[in-house]
Amino acid sequence: MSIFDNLWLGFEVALTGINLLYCLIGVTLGTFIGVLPGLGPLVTISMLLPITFNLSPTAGLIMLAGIYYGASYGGSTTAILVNLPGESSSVVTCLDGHAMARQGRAGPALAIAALGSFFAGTVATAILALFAPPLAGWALAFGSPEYFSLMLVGLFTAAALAHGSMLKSLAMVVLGLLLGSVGTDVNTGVYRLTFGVPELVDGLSFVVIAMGMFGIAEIVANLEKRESREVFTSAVGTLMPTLRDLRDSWAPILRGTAIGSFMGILPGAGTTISSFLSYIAEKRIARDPGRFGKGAIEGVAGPESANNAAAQTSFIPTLTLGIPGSGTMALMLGALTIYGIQPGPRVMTSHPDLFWGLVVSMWIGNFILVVLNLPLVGIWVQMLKTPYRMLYPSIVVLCCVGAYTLSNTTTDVILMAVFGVLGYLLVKLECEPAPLLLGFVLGPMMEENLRRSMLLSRGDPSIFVTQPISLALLVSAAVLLALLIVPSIRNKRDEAISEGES
Amino acid sequence: MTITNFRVAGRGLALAAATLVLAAGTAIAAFPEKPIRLIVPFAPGGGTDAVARIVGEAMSASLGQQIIVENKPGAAGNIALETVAKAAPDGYTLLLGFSTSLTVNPSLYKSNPVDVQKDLAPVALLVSAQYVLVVNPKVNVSTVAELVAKAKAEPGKLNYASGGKGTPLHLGAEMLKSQAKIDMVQIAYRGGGPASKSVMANETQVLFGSFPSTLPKIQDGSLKALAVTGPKRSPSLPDLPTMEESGYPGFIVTSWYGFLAPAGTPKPVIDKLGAAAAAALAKEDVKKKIEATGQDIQSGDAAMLASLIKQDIARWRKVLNDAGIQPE
Amino acid sequence: MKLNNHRDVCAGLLFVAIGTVAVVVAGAYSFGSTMHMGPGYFPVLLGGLLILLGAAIVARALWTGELAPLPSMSLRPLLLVTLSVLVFAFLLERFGLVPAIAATVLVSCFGGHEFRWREVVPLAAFLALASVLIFHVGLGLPFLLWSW
Repeated sequence: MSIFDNLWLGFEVALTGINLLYCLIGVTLGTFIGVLPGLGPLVTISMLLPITFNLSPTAGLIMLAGIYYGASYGGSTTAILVNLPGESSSVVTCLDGHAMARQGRAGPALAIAALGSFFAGTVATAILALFAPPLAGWALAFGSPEYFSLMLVGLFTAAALAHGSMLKSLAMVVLGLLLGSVGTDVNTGVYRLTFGVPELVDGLSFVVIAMGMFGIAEIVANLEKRESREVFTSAVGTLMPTLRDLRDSWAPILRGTAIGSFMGILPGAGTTISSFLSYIAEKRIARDPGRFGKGAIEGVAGPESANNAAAQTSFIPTLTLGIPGSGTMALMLGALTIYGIQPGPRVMTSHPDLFWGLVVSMWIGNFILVVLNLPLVGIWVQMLKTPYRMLYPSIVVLCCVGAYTLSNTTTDVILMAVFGVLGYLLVKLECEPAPLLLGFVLGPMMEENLRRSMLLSRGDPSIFVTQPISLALLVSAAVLLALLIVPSIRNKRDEAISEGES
Repeated sequence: MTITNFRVAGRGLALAAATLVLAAGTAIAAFPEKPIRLIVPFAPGGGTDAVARIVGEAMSASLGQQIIVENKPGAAGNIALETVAKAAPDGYTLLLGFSTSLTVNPSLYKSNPVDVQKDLAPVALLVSAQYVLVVNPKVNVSTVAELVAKAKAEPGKLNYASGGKGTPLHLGAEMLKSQAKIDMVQIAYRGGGPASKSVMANETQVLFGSFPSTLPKIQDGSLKALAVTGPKRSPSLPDLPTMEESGYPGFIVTSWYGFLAPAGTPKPVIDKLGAAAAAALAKEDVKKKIEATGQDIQSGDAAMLASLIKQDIARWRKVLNDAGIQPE
Repeated sequence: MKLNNHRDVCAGLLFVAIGTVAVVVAGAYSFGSTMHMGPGYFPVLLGGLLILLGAAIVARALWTGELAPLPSMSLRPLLLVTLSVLVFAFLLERFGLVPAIAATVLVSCFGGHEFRWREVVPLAAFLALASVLIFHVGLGLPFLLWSW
């Protein structure tokens, strides 16, 4: 069967009334879930799983997939509007997206996020359709040493994220790494840094830390300002991006799509790292990197495209290898098995209607999402006009409920309060939270893969340089490090020279 | 007092006693009057949660009250265990107990928050699952005996993937190591998914994997299956011998789920719940859905579950002891 | 050495403190060797690194004498908003979702600039109702709604 026959089949399947309906339900629900802080696609999909038993496998899978990638659209909304990352991949969007919102440019930020995500989703779906099996082989080639080297690359980008003191950013990264080590040690089963709290045995939850440090801390910081009662300028600009915005965004969107499509294939690494890498790349490439963190639209366009592309391509290892890249993917896998479908390289040939129907419906879903989200931009911006004294209790309540629903335990809510205080203190001391979060996400994987690689090589550290992919990554990490240090040395030298002259 | 008074008093007492029993009986007969919480020790998604929801839904219909699934993941199942052990023994809180956390944890950890045999009352056994010993095709063996021979020829060279300390994946491999007297290095991963990926990529060579995570790969040739670990052969892989058939009598590694209630729950309530569970498991659509997850229905009553728990605690203690793994 | 940079000195000291806690707690776990790292290896290493970085921050602050006074912190929003979250955690499983939300809104509003009962009460009611509808009814999440 040629690719056109397959796509035709896909369209036939995806455009039936039932499948369209469930696609619509899925993406709408997903967007809504993504907007709510804390609540994520994982909980939703598991709640809805039994309902899908009564549907055909195709319709059920279409709906669940819709929820999944719809959530990343919704997550960017909250990130931009209220500086709350709903998922790890939206953290970066908070940086410039929220800054834009404060300047009255929430509309363009949201619109570009939606458009970039749509473009990325389309391209990534095409990649999924055309290259799924060979790309799956790529996922297998990434073993423990490769993951470690990849994490190292990611880590160096963390320090590059901030624009304050390098020492303090590094300290935040290390603190993030430390927080990531709380929990059960994989190799020995020992409980680390859990202080006797059973809920910490499985580690801290990213969402809890993010909601505390970004959400609660932000609210407290805002409330402090006695003078300006309103957080967002009342002069809200145009809802749609200007021509200039579009011109500035198209290249980041392309780059973000490329990064995300590639990273999403690697189970576990995926969406978070893609958005961070895209942000760094844009900051590096921009002619005026000082704008980043203050409302540079490239900082929204790139990462949003990256994380949506990664969300789509993360289906590749799940469908073709049966290896889920994340908890949510594991759920999808579970759903597939319950439907009686065995994921694997044969799934394309054994269930072509399911596979191609899903692929085409992803494209349709992305389309529905952009059609849905663009008009919503107006509504969200209106919402920002709510007086802050009524907005912030709502955010607090949503965060509390969201934190609770993660594991049905109030411990998470208490932890969120703790991180709220910590986050507030750190912001006051001018330490940025974003590097901490990245350290938190990357740390455990880095350590795990480091120790595992050492076990595999029976204690021989050369394993990292003898494996070709790992070597390539380590070299990139070194280059990245050099790129980071050299300009700052040069700046200091320039400062010293100019001071000497004056 | 006269004899007549005694008789009147006696009759009065008997009447009072009868009323009490009747009332209690009605209360129990009326059970359940409000929704029942089913505490699941894992995060939503995955085999356990699916079983809980599938069976719970079917039971809700027959009991006339909703069974509400509450996920309380964490601490290898201990959080859920504690929640149920501390709940009121009135039948409105149930635990979906997983074999590892009930029967392996007591021997893995020095301090356990709940004494499984004292603080919990078994209600019903639901499903059980067996595991399959797979190797990467590059290892070039097709029977357990050949694998053991290869391991003996190159000691310390083979790696096996485990899903973490105390998981059936870990226990199965340790059992093989101590019974066959071979040496393999454990490489731990977070769960069965990453473990199977690593064997596929030949990062590790051996795995005692669950059916759902290995079956499709066995079928397409990315993994080679050597034996299954249950008491009987699996219908999905009928040509595969069991470990016992391969020369290791008593080598049984299975995991199971069952319902448990807080100790002290009245027996009639337990019986009612158990009957509802058994009825749910007998339904065709429930059977199909559960079997699709790679698990087998193994319906059993409270007594059967109790003896299974006792047996397994002893068995895993011995396995861990033999493997030299001490509780910490 | 000039002590103008109170802010960075505090930041550095905070990191030193956290790092020390980490080293002390994780020092109890088996350390292992570089070839065979134990569970304590990474946390102790990270804790140590944090101490070093913290010390470096303090040193730099004292050395350059940049002017950076301690930031002003108004305690009321911090305490009350944090309290409102803790109130939620405390009330949710004992008294239910509705009382918990009501209390949280009340307490967090105290942390703001203006407190008008005629705004706070309807807001609390609205949020409670919306949450019940969205999370409990709509998504089917289990919640104790209301119990004294």
